[in-house]
Amino acid sequence: MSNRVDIEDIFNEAFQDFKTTPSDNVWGNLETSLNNSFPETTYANKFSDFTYQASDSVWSAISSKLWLDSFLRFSLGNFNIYYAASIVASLFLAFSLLDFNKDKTNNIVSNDITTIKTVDKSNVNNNSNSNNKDIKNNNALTTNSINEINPVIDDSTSVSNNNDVKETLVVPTNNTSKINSSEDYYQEPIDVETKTVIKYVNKYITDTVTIFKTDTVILRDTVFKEVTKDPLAVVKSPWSVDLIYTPMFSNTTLGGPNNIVNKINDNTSPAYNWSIGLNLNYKINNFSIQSGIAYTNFAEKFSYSEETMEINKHQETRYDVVGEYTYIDKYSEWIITGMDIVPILDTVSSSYEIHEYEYNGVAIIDTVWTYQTDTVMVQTYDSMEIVHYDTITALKYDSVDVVIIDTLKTRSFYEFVNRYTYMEIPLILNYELKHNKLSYVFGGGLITGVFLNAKGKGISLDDEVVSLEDLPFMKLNLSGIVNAGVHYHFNPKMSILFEAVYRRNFNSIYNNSYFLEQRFNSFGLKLGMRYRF
Amino acid sequence: MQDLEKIIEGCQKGQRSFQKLLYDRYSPVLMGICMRYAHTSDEAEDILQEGFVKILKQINKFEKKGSFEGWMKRIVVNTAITNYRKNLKRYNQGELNDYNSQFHSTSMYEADFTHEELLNIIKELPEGYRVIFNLYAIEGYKHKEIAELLDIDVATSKSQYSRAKKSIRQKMEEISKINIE
Repeated sequence: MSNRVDIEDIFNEAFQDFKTTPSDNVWGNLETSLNNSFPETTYANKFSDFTYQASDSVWSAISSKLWLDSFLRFSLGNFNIYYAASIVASLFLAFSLLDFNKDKTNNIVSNDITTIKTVDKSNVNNNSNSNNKDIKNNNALTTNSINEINPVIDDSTSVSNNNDVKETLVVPTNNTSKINSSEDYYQEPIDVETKTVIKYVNKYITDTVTIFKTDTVILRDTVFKEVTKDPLAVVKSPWSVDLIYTPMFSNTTLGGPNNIVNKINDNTSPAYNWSIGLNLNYKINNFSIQSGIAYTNFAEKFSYSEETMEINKHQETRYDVVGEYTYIDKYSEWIITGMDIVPILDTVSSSYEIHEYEYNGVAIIDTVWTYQTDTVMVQTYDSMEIVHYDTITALKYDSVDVVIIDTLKTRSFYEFVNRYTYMEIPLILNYELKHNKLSYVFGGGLITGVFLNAKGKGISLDDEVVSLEDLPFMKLNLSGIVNAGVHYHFNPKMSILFEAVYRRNFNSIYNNSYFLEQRFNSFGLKLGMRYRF
Repeated sequence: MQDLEKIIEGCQKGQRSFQKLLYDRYSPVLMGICMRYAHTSDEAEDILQEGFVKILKQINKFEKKGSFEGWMKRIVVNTAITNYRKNLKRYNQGELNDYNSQFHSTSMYEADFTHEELLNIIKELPEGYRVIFNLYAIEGYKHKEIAELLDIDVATSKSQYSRAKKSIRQKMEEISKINIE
């Protein structure tokens, strides 16, 4: 059929270059629509790939923060605060042991030599008055005099005047006496006495001549009493009291379901902790027992984002088209095609009369009927019946009850510093090694903590954020503590204390019924003042 | 240019050089976000710093399913929100007047405005309004989500957004007029 024409072709030809101008309202509506979303679309488009250069200091700050964070967390592979504390403690210990041995050696030497006196040869020819004077002066010997008993020959003039013979006076050894030349700040009363001594002159250079002379010389003869006690022994009472402030950093050791433990570990970081307290010390020789009371505040930073899902369910009925069917609807109608008016004679009423009479001797009965008629004009119609056949296509609907689940995700961010406060009673045994104005102290003990309160947020077994106030805390906690440090003595009564402290909970801070175990590991610096009674 | 996956792996191991690479690559984009939320560039840098530390600390949690950049952006936006919540007391919570003037049919196009002009406009908004505008118009949060995040009513979020929008439009009109003149 070569004459066949495609409808597409017809439309293409007709509308290929068809143009028409829309009404003026169209642009207005379009512009209004654009304007309604104007600022947000502008901002969204403009800032979708917007960049801005931060200053160089930002990375330095980030880097420092990361370093500090890793420094405060224990990790085998990285240098951290725990390694640093170990090194400091080891150094303290090493230096202290060295000092201790040195002191011990000095004491032995003093015991052997006992008292060594330097002869002031210029006094040899003095008269007895001057002797008395010198002796009197010696009563006023001060700590400077202690330096004169250095066991070296300090009178070079006398050596040269005496044919190169160095002279040293030696008092026969008295094993009960002892010189402790290093305690220069200790002002024990000094006994001064005059003695006639045997001069023992040793010729060092020729090593052959030894001369004994019994000679009375005027000596600055200072004999010290035995000093075997701690220089601080002048303070009679063994009691002392400390006022302590301990800044600390803590991390926690957790036990429990791995997923929760990992989550808590990832979301907590060390924070500044502190403890303040008053301790009483009782000293027995180099040991002291310490106890008191402290208010301790443990803390950790809790930074957590939680995604919650809110599900709203509601039911509604939906109608789905499941098919269609066609039926023919038949109906008919009558159409009047013409009209006529026809008169109709209608008998309205009828009556009759009976007349009886005689006619010719015949009785006649005559019945006469009377009819009353009415003529009515009646319309008549010509009609035609039209039958319609309407084909109807109907859609089949299926009503379905649908449950609509509306899911709303919400992310909540928590930034808290969790705080746990305890009233604590320490019981610590310390050992002190003294050197001049310093004492090196090592100790350890137990701390019993009474739980006071906790504030902040935690994660429950259901992975939900919960308030610490609602959690079951152990009322009593036991911790172990080790400390090493140095005390500086301003005077026999007052000292300041610097001690590195490491402490750790023995038991979990939560009740056994709780799914999580948490123990604090704290490292800090104990600072304090000590007053001796 | 290092492969992103290698950088992420390096960061997950805590290697500082990879962390720096990540910072160099993404800090401009993230700083761009911070600038929209902060009042000053110093404050923006604080948010960036805090946000980036969070990214590096939580990078082990990143499941390589979605966009890494999107993940980082979400963290920074959340940090900005946290920063806003933290400083609620400090901020001067100003109110915007409900502008009665209708938006005129002045033709304005994106190209008419520089980033700086647009930033200055939103920086002039009170803090709460700015955060809501950023979250709704640019980040695409819903009002219900914003209400949850900022602990406000949905109606408050809607009304503040509406006012912020009107205020921004008016300022944009003013700038547009000045530019035409």
